[in-house]
Amino acid sequence: MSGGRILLRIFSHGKSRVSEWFHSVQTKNKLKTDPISGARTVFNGVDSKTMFAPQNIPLPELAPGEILAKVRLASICMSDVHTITGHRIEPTPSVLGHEAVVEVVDHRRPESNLAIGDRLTFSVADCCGNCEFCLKGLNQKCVKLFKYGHAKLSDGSGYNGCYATHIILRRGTHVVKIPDVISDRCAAPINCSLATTMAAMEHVPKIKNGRAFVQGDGILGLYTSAALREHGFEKVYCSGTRLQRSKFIDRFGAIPLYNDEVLHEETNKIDIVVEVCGVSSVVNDGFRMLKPGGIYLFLGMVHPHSQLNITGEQIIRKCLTIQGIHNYAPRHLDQAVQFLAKTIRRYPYEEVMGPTYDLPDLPAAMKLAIGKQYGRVLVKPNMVN
Amino acid sequence: MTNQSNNDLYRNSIQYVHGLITPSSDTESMLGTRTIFHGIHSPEIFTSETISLPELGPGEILVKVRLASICMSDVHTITGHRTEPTPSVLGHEAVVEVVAHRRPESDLSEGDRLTFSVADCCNKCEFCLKGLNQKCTKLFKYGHAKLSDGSGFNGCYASYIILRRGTHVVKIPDVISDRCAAPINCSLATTMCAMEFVPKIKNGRAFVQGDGILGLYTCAALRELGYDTVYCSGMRIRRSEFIDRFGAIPLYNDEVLHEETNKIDVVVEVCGVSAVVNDGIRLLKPGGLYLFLGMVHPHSELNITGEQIIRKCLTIKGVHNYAPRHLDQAVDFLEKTIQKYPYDEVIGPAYALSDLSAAMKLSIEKVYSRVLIKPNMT
Repeated sequence: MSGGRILLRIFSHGKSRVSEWFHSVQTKNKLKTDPISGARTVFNGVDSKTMFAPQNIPLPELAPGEILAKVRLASICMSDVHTITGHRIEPTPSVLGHEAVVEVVDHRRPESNLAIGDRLTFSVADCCGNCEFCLKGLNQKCVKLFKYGHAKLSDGSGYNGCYATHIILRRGTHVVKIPDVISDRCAAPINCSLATTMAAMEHVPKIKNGRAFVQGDGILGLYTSAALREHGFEKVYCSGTRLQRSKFIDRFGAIPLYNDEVLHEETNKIDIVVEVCGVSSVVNDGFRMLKPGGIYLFLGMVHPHSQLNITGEQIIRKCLTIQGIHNYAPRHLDQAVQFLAKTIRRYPYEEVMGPTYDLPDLPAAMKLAIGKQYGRVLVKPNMVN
Repeated sequence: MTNQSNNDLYRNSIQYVHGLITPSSDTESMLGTRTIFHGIHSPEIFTSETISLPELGPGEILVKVRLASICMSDVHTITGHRTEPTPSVLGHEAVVEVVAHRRPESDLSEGDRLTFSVADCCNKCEFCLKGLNQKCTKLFKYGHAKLSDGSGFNGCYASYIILRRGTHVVKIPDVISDRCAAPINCSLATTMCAMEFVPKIKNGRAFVQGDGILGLYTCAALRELGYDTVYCSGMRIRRSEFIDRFGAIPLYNDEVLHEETNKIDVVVEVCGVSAVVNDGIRLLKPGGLYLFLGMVHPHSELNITGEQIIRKCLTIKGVHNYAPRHLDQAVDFLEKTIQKYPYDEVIGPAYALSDLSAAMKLSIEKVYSRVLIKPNMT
């Protein structure tokens, strides 16, 4: 497998050495008194000689409130793709990856009902719980915010990202158990994509015969389509880019359109437009479609090349609301798990997911993710068991 | 007597018997004067016309214009920045007085002072039913309608205006003078509409961009809602001296308040200038609210990114005009706070209808928050 052909470099370790190492980790005793090592893939920056470098180091002891979790399955979020293609800057060196379903190995939350072996999803944002933003339910803007997959190696335990065998969840991190009915493949994207969708839905009113337009058919777009249908919206359009994943649009409850299609008949008739494609040029079309009093949710354009070409008049004359949604708060993680458990049979959550790679093949996995063929590409760091 | 006058007498006596009009106000023989706007490229931009007032239709109210105020949107129309249908009678802000009416189910009496909704609406379309009456599918706006629409007495730069049956009206309490009442039905009602989106926030901080009448009213409304610190940025002209008397901390356009970066809960744009929006976004804290009111014209290009809105989880809300409930709220608000804020002092002089051009010219200078027109000088 030649995973390193694009801009990524080959690992310095041979694949067989890594497999050997994985096996040795699995045979270690799981009691907290025995030191175990973890493997993590460190990202050194786009311009670095070794962009990704694996590292095996002992896992530190847990502090009060922390949880040592094994990463069962991680998924590659588009924001990580943007980071490794240079469109986005994150602090380095770091361990990327923030979407994953994990399993409790050990914990120091005696007041909780956590048990070893529990499958969990966890909040990407570790927060303080008592600043102005946490107190008003905007925890993702906590003054002491820490984000998994977005933190320097030197911050906290260093086991801060999901492209690793283990992750140490800090004491300000909300976790939710995953019900058995949800497989690992479906669970992995909960704590970014689906939870963010729930945060967006908080701003969507229940509208009789509601009509919505979702701009983007990536995983956020598909989840949003399903969420709108579950919310009672009668008609949901979803515009995509004619890739393989677009074929799932109708199975997520929406009417598929392609980017070059202009829906003239819905001018001024749409209650809610949701931007989940990251492309600012779609915004004018969204404005056209919104009816007076309509709501526009912005989720995708979290990058500087998102210049808007709109006037204040457009917003005022139609009495529009524009709501920016970035990440989510702890309650949205709960809502995401409930939503998924409730609708797991109704929508093809599993089918939109792509193949699974092991940790040394992260570059190949990233390359496939860039291609946007699948809702998500997966990484399984602990290949044994 | 001629047949014509026999018929007139008959028709009037029938209406009198039905209690629809009082004998002292025989509208058919009444004359109204109106100033017609022909468009800025016309040889005569304004002409004056005196014609008979038409009969009232069911639900209509014939009112005398006691005092009208010149809204900035009219200034934009006559300076060519804004296009309205012509010919028309401009003017939509006024305190009026009932002369006659055909609303038997109401408690209106001749002589009542009223304010009225600029938007005449149907009350049963999708927008009316969800409380967004200003976007009624059958919307008619006083001061924005062609002469041929309805009675033609559609604007406030006239001695009379005929309020249509879909027009919400509110009586003006005695404690509110005509000068204070005139701007209620555009400026103050629109402010009430904006306030509907403003949450009560403990130790709330707000920034009002613009010190015209909308800005001053918004400052007062924010203070009354409990906002601790309200800044208001103005343009260094005479009316700015009122900013602190309306409860806000005055700033001038070129002042950049660095210390409030990311600390403001609500920013309100009421100056019509799109360039201020970047500063507003800078000031807003995560989760903050930006109200857009002033930029109701095409030269309002925004120079912002989607990222700015997303990263701070901002809400931007466009507010255009208002719904009937906001007119009620405006009258209540003004009555409650009439002694507290210098509502009368920010208003400028009153001109006769024939001096509309001079009044407009003074409005353009923005020395006063409002310039007045008193069509019925006797």
